[in-house]
Amino acid sequence: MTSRSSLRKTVGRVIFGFDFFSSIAAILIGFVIGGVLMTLSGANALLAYEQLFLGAVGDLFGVTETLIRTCPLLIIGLGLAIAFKGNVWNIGADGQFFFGAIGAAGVSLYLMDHFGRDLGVVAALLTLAVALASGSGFALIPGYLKARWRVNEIITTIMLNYVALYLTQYLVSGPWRDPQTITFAQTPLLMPMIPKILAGTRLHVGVLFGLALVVVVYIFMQRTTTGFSIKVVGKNLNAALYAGMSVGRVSILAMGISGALAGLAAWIEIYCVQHRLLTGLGIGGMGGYGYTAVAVALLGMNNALGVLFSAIFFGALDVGASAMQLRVGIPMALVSGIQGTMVLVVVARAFLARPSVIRWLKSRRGEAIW
Amino acid sequence: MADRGHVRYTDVPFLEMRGMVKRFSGVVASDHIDLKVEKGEVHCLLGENGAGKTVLMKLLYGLYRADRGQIFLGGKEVTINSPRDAIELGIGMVHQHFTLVPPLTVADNLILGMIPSYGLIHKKEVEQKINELSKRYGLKVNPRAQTWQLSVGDQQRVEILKALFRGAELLILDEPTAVLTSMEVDQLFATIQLLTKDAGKAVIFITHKLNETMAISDRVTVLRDGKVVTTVETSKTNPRELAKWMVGREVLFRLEKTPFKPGEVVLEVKGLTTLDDLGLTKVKGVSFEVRQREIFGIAGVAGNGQRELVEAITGLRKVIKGNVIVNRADVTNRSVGDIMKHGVGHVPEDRYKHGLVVQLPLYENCILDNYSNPEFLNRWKLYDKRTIYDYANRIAKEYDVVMPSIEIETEVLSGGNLQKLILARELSRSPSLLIVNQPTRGVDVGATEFVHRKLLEQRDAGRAILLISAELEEILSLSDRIAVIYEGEIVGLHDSENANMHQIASEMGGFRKQ
Repeated sequence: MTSRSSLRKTVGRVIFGFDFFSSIAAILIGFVIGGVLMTLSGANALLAYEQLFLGAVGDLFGVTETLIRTCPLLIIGLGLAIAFKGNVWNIGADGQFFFGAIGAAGVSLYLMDHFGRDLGVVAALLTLAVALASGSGFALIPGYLKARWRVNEIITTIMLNYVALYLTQYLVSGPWRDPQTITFAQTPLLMPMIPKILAGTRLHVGVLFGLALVVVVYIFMQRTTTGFSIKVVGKNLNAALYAGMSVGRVSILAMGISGALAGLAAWIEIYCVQHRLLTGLGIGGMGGYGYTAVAVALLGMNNALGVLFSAIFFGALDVGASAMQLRVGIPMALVSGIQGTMVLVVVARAFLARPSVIRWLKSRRGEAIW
Repeated sequence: MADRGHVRYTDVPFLEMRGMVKRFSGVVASDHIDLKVEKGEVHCLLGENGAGKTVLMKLLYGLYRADRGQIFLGGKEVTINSPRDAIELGIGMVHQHFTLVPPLTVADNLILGMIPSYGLIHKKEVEQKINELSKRYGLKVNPRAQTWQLSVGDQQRVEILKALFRGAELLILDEPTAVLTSMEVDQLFATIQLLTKDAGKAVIFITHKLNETMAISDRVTVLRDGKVVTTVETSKTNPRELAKWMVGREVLFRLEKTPFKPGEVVLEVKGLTTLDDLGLTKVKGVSFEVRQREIFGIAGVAGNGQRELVEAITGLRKVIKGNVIVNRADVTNRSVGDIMKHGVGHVPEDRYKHGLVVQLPLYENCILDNYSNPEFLNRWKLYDKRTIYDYANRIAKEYDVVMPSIEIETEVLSGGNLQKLILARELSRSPSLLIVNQPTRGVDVGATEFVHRKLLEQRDAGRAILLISAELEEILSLSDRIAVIYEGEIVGLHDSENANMHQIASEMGGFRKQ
């Protein structure tokens, strides 16, 4: 009973709390600035937004496409939310995504070489395990550097993104290149193929993984000792040290978990959506999923339920934006501009919610702090 | 310093602060403080940490805005809204934490923020002026040296030069000797002498050390709890009297104490040496024992190594030399969790910094340092909320914590309630050694009495208690044995039976047996 009441409270906090309203405000500001930009460029903003909405959720195709876009943002965003809660600023989900993809694709190619194209459940599980392990392993590099030598993880994770991206580029245009496609640098079709779950659409089982993970991450943060120590380290480092928690262990864990989830997202993108490894894997209208997921986690207040809502929102925005571009003829650059504005406002919101800024605002109002 | 009779006290002093009031969310940090300082005078502001010395000076330097009060310079009322205003009026301040930019040279640091509007800097002139100033006031420093390469003492000299460079006539030094070696202290005092006696500048010297006050000042203003206790000419007082003014507090109640029947040794500290955050030796070879059924009190003015000592014992700070032995096991430099498992409970000095995570609800704070206790987990290793709630409610009730619900945000509770909760949490782990650091700081009278009674109760129940407090009364009324710490050393050890308060107070101020 108590756990249900606390769940209800969390839902309440998400929906009615200050954080929620500030997230909504961020979204509205983004839309308004986008509208002004469109009007200035001579387009009908209202019509554009109508098309954006219809494109995202107007029909079955829109809804399923939105869910497909939501899936990787949700899964990566959940991992990042855990890391951010522990004050570990993993900006390297993009690289961890690609590294997970490379690991899984490598296993697929090897299996296909040895056992042919007819691969089954064992192969699926094996590629999944390797995707998780290599995504997580790639994240452990900055995690270990932070824990051992206090190397700033923001810098290392961003730099490692390039390592993973260029390694992918090399593999798909060199050793792993599909000889049958001439125009694109990509691998051959990767087996096994995970079947779709709704006929006539691309809806896949990964979406269910994502939903299940919302619950798992929620329980992990609320009900496990590890989740508790991540929270405490993130909120008050001194108290964590006092309580005998290992801060280094928490950094490594938070990194490892978020990397593993980025690897999972990559596995889903390969085996449920693209069936190939290519550098365009995991890139939506707003750029790499690994970067967009940072905004997803921040807009979702690093809370499992909040991340679910914000991932759906960003997924819908992405799908709707393509429709808007197609039907109203808004130039691509402007669409990206609108999306970028929203991300900016979201990040500004996260900045405004920082204790130091709140303290500063309060002190401006004459409430002194000691 | 014998020859300090050159200051003339006038009706219109160089600086006068009148009725300064500053409140911080309900706490009065400066309560109608008056202060007069003359040209050529060294004026000590003496008081314990938290007495309001630094707050008062930050009001003068424009870092805080006073709720009430007036400031006069040379008889004229002035308004100081920012450090810039203060600097323009000839007020300079050297903070405890330096404000230099490490990669810049000394000269660059000095001109930082005061570049003339036409934008040209005459490096030669600047260096020449620095050399002049450093020669005149004995502040030897190379203007071309990069600041990060300088020792702490050098950096302080640069800070003083910076203030003088900007034309300071009144110099505020906030606990300047805390970071210095004794030789550097001598140099600093010589500089202060030149500044005041020769150049006729005024110096306000913030300190809690009695011997320094006696050595350097013309007058002393003693502050306690944000109020002025008294202002006297240094030549007309003595360290003993100053100690009494600084720490002396009326005893509010007498505690009933059962006879002292100590048991086995629980904590043994042998020759412990440790560093502070700046890397300076802060605790110098301290040794003592704490036994079962004993409250061992460590008295001392805050900042004399108590915090570092506690952190070294509990595993939060590295022990450089010496040993910490708990229940016959050597736990020197073991992890915090390990030491806890050997039976150590710790009520930290700063409950908001170490003892609690204020953003988390109360019940989560009740399990902060025993969060991995299997009793709180169900068979899937998940927290069992009901067990945690029951436990939290039970200890809160037992320790008289007044709260609407165990689920409320921790920050809304008063300091006294939170302190009781931390004490309850630590004792719920049944430690054989309980370390309590400043257990009643910022706690109201009722909660103070409750905490004291509980500590005595736990002593009678057989626990060893190490009590660290800057409140002499607290130490005297609770402890079975009392050690006095001064500058990282134990300078006195007393049985509470025949402890002499004035003797201890003198030792706290750095004066040994006279």
